[in-house]
Amino acid sequence: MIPIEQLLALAFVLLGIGACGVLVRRNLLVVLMSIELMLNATNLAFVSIARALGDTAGHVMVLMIFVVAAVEVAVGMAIVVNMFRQRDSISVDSFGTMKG
Amino acid sequence: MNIDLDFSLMIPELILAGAAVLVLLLDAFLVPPGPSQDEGDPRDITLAVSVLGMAIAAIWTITVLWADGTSRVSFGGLFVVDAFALFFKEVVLIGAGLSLLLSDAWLRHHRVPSAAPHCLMLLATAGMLYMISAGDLVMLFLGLEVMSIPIYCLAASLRWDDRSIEAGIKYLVLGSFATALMLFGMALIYAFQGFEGGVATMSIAAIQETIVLHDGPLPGYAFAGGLLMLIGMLFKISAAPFHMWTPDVYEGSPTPVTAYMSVAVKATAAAVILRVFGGPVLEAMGLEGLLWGVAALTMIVGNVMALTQDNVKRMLAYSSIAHGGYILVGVLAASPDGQAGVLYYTLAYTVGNIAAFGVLVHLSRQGHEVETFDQLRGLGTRFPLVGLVMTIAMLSLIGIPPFAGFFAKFAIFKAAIGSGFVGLTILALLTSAISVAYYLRPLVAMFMTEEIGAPAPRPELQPRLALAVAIAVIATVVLGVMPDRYLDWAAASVIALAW
Amino acid sequence: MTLQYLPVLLVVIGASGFMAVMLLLNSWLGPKPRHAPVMDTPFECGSPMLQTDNRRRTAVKYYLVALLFVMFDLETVLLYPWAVMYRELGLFGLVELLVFLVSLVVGLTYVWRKGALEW
Repeated sequence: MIPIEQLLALAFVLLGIGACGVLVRRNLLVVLMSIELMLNATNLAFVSIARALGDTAGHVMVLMIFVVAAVEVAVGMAIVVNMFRQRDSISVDSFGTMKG
Repeated sequence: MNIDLDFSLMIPELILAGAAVLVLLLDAFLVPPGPSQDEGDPRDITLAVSVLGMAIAAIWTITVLWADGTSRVSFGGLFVVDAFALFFKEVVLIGAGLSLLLSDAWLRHHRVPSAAPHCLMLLATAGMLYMISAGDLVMLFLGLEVMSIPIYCLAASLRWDDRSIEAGIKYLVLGSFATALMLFGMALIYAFQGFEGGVATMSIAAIQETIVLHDGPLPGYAFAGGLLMLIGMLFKISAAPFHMWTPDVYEGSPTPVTAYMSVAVKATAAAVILRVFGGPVLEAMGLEGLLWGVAALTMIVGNVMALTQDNVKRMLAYSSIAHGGYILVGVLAASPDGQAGVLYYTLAYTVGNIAAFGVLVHLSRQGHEVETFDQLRGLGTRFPLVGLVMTIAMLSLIGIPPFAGFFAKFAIFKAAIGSGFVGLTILALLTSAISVAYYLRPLVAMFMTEEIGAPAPRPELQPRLALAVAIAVIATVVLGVMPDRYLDWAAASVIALAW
Repeated sequence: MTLQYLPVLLVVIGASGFMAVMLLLNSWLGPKPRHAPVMDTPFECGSPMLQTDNRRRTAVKYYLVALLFVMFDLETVLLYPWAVMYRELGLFGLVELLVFLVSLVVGLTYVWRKGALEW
C-alpha cells in the first residue's frame, strides 16, 4: 500500500498546481478547470486519509465535494457563457470596469 | 441503524427549503416570460411566499426553539441547536428578510424577468442556517456551499450589465478558490484528529478537544490545516488581506444583493469563526498572533481605503471590511464578554446597513442607479425623511450614541481591554475616529450641497421597501436606546459556547 | 530493489544526452540564415497560406443541456450510499430518498418550463 505521506504530498502538489492556475491563467475556462483540479486534489487527500484511518466520514465528504464541484462549475460556466455573449471575450484581462 | 433524527430542531431550515421549492414551482408555472407587469404580477405571490417563509422561520426560531433553552445535538452530531446558533439564526433571518423586501423594488426597477432571486435568497439563507448549526465539518462545508452558490448567481443576476457579470465571476472564482483551500485544511485537520485524537471523526467538538488537550505545539500539518480553514473563513468575512474581491463584488452586484451579502454572509462567517476557533482553540492552534495581525490590518485597510471612494456602494464595501475587523477583535478577546459583543455587533451592523442600502435602492430607478456622492447632492434637503434615515444609519455605523452601533463597539472594546488587548483596542478607536470622515460624506452631500443639473424627480414610495427601512431604523434606535435586554440575550447565548 | 531500475535510468540519460548533443551540433555547425517574415508563418507545402485565421466559432447549442446533464448525472452519486445501506435503512431511507428525488424533479420541471431543454 502506498504510504499516506506520499499520497498527501501528491495531493498537495496538485492543489498547488491548481492554485497557480487560478492565479496565473487569463482564460476563465482554464481558471474554472484549475478550481476543479484543486477540489480533486482535496478529494484525493480525503480518500487517502479516510483509507489510512479506516473511517467512512472522509468518503462521505468526497461524495459531497463531487456534487458541489459539479454545481459550482455549472454556475461558473453559465456566467462565463453569459459574459461571452455580452463582451465577446472570456479573458480575465477584459475586467477592470471597476477601480479603486 | 440507531441515529437520533430530531427533525423538529430543523424546522426553520425546512420551512425555508420548502418555500424555495414552492417559489421555484410558482415561478415555473405562473410567471410568464418577459418583463414584469406592474399590476397583478405573479411575483407578488412569490415574494409573499418568500417573506412569509422567512417570517415563520424567524418566529419559530425565537418562540419554540429559543424558549426551550437547552442545547441539543441531533443527526449523529451533525446538527447543533443551542442559544448561540439561534441568536445568529435570528440575525441572519432578519437581515435576509429585510434584503428580500428591498429586492422587490429592485426587481421592479430593472424588470428582471424571473422570480429566481427570491428562490436563490431562500436557498442561500437556508445554507447559512445550516452552517451556523453545523456540528461537523461535512455539515459546515455543505452549508457553506448551499450559501455561496446561490449568492454567486445573485451577484451575476443582472445578465445584461457588465459590472454585475464581472462581480459574479470574481466572487465565484475567488470564493471557490477559498473553499478549495479550506477543504484541504479540513482534510489535514481530519488526519490530525484521526492520528492523534484516537477516534477518526469530523465532529467539531471532538477536534477542538483533541487540539486543546494536545501537549506542546501542534504538528506542522495540523497547523497548516487550521491555517487554511481560518483563511477560508476570513475570506467570507472579507478580512484583509483576503478582502480584494469585496469592493468590486459589492459595487457590481445589484444593491439589495449587496445589502444581503454584507449583513447575512458576514454574520454567518462570524458565527462559524466563533464556533470553530472560539475560546481556547485559537491559542492552542498558535493562530492567535496571526489573527491579531489580520484584525489590525483589516481595520486599517477598510477605514483608510473607504476615505478615498466616490461611490457610496464601494465606500460601504470598505466600511464592511472595517466592521469585519472590529468583529475579529471581539473574536480575539475570546472571553464570554467578547463573544457576546460579537453577537450584538452583528445585529446592530445588520439593521444599520440595511437602512443605508435601503436609501440607495429607494433613490434609484430604472436606468438611473444612485451610487455616487454627487448623485446624493441636495437630496437630504429636498426629501427630509430620506435624509433622516441616512443620518441614523451613518451615525449608527460610526458608533455614536444613542444608536445601536455605539453599544456594539463599546461592548467589543471593553471585552478586548478586559482580555488584555490594549494596543489593538487603541488602534480600533483610532480607526473608528477615521471612519467619521467618510460616514459624514454622504450626509454632507445630502444636506450641505446643491443638486447638480436638473432636480431628480421625487422617487416613488414603494411600501415594501418602506416597511423594510422602517423596521431597520426602528431597530437601530431601539437597540441604541434600550440595549440592556439585547445585550443580556447576547450574553445568555454565548453560555452555550462555554468550554 | 532500486537497483533493478538502473538500466531505465541509463537509457533516459543516454537518450536525452544524445538529443542534446545533436541539437548543439546542429546549431553550431549548421548554416545560420537571416530572419525573414515568411519564417513566422505556418509551413503549407511551399504554397502561400490559404486561410490565415483558422479559429472559427462553433455553435454550442447543446451546452445548456450538457451542463444540466452533468448536474443531474452527478446527483445520482448520492444514491450509491443509500443503495449500499438499503436494507438497514428500510422505510425511512426510502422516504428520504423520495424527498431527494422529488426535489430533483422540481428542478427538472423548472428547467423544462423555462425552455432550457429546447435547442
